[in-house]
Amino acid sequence: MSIAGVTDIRPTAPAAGRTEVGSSAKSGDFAAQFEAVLTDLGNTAQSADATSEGLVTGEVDIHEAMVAMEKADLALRVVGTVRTKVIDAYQQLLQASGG
Amino acid sequence: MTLLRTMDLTATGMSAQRTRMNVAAMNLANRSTTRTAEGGPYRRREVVLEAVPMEGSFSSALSGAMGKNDEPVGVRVATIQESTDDPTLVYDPGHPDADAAGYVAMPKVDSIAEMVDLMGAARAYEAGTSVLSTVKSMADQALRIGR
Amino acid sequence: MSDRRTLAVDSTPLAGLDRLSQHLRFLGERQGVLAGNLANIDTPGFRARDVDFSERFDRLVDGTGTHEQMSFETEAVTRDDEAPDADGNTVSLEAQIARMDENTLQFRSLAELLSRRIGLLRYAANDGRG
Repeated sequence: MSIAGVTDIRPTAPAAGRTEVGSSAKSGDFAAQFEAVLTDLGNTAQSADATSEGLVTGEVDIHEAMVAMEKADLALRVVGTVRTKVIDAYQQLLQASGG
Repeated sequence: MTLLRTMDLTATGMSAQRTRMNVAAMNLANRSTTRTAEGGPYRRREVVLEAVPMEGSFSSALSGAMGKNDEPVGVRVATIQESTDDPTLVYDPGHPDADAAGYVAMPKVDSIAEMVDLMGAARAYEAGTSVLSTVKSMADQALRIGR
Repeated sequence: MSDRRTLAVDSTPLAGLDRLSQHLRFLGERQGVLAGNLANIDTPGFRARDVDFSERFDRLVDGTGTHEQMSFETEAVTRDDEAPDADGNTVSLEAQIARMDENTLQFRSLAELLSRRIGLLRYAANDGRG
């Protein structure tokens, strides 16, 4: 049997602990990166909806639906965190410039 | 095929095995029956099984790997056949159904063979319950993903 | 008969989850095939089946840069447990139960791994807060 064992798992994406997102955009171009994240978020949310429907019709299995929902949840959290950071940074800037 | 559908599939196997057990029990109960409504001794019944595709199991992951004919298959009882074997003639002149020569036509039921079938069916049925519990444990684990 | 599908993994950090999800999907499907073998343990002429799975990770370099790609291949096979019996059936109860138990364990381990990876990503997504 040629089933790849669990030991075969290699990291194929940036490891957890780094908040790097949307690598399809050039790094350093924040606006583009953020946009990529938002697109991601939209896609994962759509995916989650589609798989939930699939669960009902029996096309999609439990594990796939769970992963789709967790991905949507994660994407949402990333957006929330980035938003918070941007606001914090902006506020710091205002304070620094004598606000 | 989803885990849920796999449970349905397993149930088809268990149903088929129950039928086999019932038929073996009926054969055993009638091993000495010399008079039936149709006339003549009891004729042994035999369960004929066939594989059937599970409906709605055209799963996307394997629909390429397995052609339509290779989908996971359940089982059903195609028919319960009546044996066409000649009855066994036993010399017993005292028997109410003995013929002029003193022979009685007895059902061709081998008790040992029927017991073996019965036990085999019971074992396969039990295996079905263990399959159900493995599938349930997979579903439980899947429901815990990310929690 | 085999089926191959590919998945680009350089798009998002969440793509690693897709890979594990594909593997889980395969294991779930395989359980169905094995259950089918057991259901047909007394079907005349039935030959035991299985599905094999292999993954390949490729790093491709082209004009637009380096791309990483996973591809998954599944192959449906006939895999007899024993020589055909009097009815032509090749399924062995013990062999199938063993395969199913192994498959179940793989599934559960992978699901657990997936859970933990999601937990770590969640921690990172919350910027270290919960």
